[in-house]
Amino acid sequence: MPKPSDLLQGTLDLLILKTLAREPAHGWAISKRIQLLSGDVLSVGQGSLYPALYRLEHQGWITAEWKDSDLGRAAKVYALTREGRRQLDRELKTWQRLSSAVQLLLDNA
Amino acid sequence: MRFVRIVIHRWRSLLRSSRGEREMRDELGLHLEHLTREYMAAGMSETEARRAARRDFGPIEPIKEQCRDARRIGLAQDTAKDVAYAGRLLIKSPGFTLAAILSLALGIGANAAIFSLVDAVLLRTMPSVHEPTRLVEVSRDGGRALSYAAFEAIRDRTSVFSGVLLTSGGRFAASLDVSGRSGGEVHLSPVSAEYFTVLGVTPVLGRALDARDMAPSNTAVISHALWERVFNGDPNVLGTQMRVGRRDYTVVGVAPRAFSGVLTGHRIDLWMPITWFDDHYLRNSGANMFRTIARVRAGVSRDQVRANVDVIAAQITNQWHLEKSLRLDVGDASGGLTVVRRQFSGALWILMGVVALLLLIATVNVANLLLARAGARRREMAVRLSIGASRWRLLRQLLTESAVLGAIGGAIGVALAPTAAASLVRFLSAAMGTMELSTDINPRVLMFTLVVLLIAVVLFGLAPALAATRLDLTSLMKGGPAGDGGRGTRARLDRVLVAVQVAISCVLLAGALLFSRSLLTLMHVDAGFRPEHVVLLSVGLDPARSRTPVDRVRAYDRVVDRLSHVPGVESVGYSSERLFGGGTWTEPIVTPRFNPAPGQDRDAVLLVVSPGFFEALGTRLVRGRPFDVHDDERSEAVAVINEAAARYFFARTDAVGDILQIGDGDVRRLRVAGVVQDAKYRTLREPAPRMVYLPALQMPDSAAAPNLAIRTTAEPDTIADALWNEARREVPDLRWRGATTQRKLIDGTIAPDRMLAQLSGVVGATALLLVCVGLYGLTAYEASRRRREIGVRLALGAQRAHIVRNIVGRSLLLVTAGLVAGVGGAAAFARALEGVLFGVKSSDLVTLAGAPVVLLTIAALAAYLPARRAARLNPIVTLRAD
Repeated sequence: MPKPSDLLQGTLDLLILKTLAREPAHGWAISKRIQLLSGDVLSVGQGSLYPALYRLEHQGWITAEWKDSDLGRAAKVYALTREGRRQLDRELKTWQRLSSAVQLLLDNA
Repeated sequence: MRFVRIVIHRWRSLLRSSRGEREMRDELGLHLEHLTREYMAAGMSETEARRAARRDFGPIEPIKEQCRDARRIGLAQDTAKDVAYAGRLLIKSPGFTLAAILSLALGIGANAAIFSLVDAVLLRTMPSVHEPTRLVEVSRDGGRALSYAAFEAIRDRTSVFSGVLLTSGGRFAASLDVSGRSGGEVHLSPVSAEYFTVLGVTPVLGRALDARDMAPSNTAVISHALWERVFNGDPNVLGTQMRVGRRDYTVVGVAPRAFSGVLTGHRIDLWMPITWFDDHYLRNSGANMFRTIARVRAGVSRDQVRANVDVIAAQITNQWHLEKSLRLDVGDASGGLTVVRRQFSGALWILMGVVALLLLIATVNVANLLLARAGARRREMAVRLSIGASRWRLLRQLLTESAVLGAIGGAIGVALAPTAAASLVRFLSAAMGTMELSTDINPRVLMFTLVVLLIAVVLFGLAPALAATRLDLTSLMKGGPAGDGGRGTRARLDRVLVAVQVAISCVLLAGALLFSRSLLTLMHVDAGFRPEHVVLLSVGLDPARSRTPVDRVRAYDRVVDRLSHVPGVESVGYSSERLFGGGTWTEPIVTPRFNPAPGQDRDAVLLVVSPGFFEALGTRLVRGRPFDVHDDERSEAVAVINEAAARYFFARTDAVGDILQIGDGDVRRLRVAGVVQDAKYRTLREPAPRMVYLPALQMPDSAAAPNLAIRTTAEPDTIADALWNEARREVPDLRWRGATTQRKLIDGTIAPDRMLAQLSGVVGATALLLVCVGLYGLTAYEASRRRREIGVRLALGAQRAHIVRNIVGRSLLLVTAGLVAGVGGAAAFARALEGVLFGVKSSDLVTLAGAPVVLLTIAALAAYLPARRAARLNPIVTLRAD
């Protein structure tokens, strides 16, 4: 399993927010979706996923609700809040600025 | 919206933490379940899949810990848990807890007590006074009282004060009667017309005293307390007649509840016009017995005040043709008159420093106890660190334990402080007459104590906590014996701490020795008279009955005669001022043989006395004769001088028969009838001043209100009332101005020295005790750590005595190191104290050698006991235990 440190600090928040922007999901689903949508390139270990979820909830960007899940057990389902959506926009802009800057550097260096 | 959600979320996570924990477990469990399913879907059996999932998932506790951190429900909740945990731990080791809490309670209590006194005497401002910080006291050089004429000069010439007031230098006791009903003893203070306006105190009822009351009138303002106590708060009290002493007064006003006058610690019940004093005292510019407070105009700087007061002093010097130029002091009077503050501020600040050092020792003691415990808890810390607790988390828990200790110790200390402070007020009372100082714990004292406590907790808590959590996990977990950290931080730090303790207590002990030696020297100073068994009765005569001044003196002489026949009375005399009473009348002296250079001091202290005065006080006659009944208004004017005056003005001790003159203007020529030995006049510290004694019958004006000095064989305290009654039988209109003993007056002048000696003695002994506890603990700990080694040595045939020597030696090495620093500190401390000490040099060998010797002796004992116990161990038992 790739080490969580492979992900840039702060990128994980972006990925989680982006994933939840589509639809609410529980922890397992979030990690699966990130893995799937990145074509198995990105993998988020539970060791960083759950603390990140707790942190985002603490910040008020996502909320959680216990719902019945596919395994017949209650699952904690996270959803994006309105502030979370705004935060996602901000993080996206930051990311795009950063990645285009990096790309620029790689092209011209 | 977001804010509200965050608050709700955080609040919930705080309140329902157990639910939060359960949810966290469920959530992570579900994840694990998914992982297991995935492996099963890939074809594993359920058991295999479960195992694989677990392996994949990794340790669950660190994740939980991180989640908790992320939610940051941490602080408050963990703290509550830590406090409960700390409480359980402390209860489990009562010996440690008791020692730590006692040390702290002692240190904090001492600091709170001394500070509440500092607050009451030095910091507090007068209540119900308008802008007290703009008030200053103008006094003669060195904070001495001044005369009515000087007050008038300052009041009329100043450009920097918006007002200047005059008040009696002390308060006077008198009996109070209201329409035949006794109101008990009251304390009164005569004041000038400006008193209430300058202070900005408005009576709650009636009016303040003002200019119209000063053309002698019998009006008075009463205190709120007196109004309630004697008049039951009667709103129609104005105009009521009351008998104060032997004179009638009319109530014209009631002062505000909180206002108790300007004499720090001495409540005033009655304020009356300054004309309460006989006119003689107001006219005589040598009668330095009043105090002056002035209100500085807004916007005027201290420098401007200083400059203006200097100018006034120079003007007075010129106008009055003073030989020695007058110097005026300006002191802050926001808390009232500066007398008490001047006398005690030095001693109080020194004590503040001393108790701060004591607290430091106590703090070090607790730190050492904590270090020892940290050693014993290495395993616990190691286990918690390895299962994922962060170091910060452990630190926080250890600091919480320290805080709990601090809180309990501090609370006990603060609870004890008022009692301790009240007993300190007794020292002040011995000097200044009964003091009513409120030493309750007020917000400022509490604030100070809290800050001190906080510093202490950080000091004693932090180092041991850091040491306890800095662990080499691997070696510990490998199973080295718990607590055997070898030469770790703990081993070094606690040794250093004990050395520091020894050094500080060496300083404190040296201070205590210096102060007691200084006090002893003071107490054995030859005062030039015998103060024991002398009762002092201050009396006056009703001015309403017209008598010539000489008749008044003859009335006093009849009282003297009557009293000298009372059983138990050896001799009786009187004087215009009491020795060590604070009042001084000085005049320039001219003699034919004495040609002073311009500006050279030619003052002498004048004292008007009765013939029996020298015998009553026990001042020895050196040459010539004392006064006798024939030195009256018709015979030749004579004087008795002391040896200091004889040497200074006549350049020889045998001045009998020589002529001296008093003053420049209306010159009085006197023939020296006798020379008496030098007697101290104001303090024991200064040498006796030059004295010129004058017979009362030849200076009747100055003997208007004399102080009877009665030498008795009985206990002075018990006989005063009987003497007073006897005196009243001889002269029925005799007025009571107060009674005391000569011993008390002298003791009053050395009260700060006594306070310093006794308190620093207590502090020194406490410091010694704390050091012993610390050293005992350290030695016992080291001995227990070396148990195996000692066992092996004993098994191999080592002498027990040798082992004891070895252990004690290691401890004494520390003590010696501490003492080297301590002696240096003590020497510096002693130099700083030079101004306070009397007759003891700062390089005093007895002290600088005595303190270390005492410490070393006691330290050897404290180290010997645990060493002996360690050497008595049965080697077989010790070795088998491992």
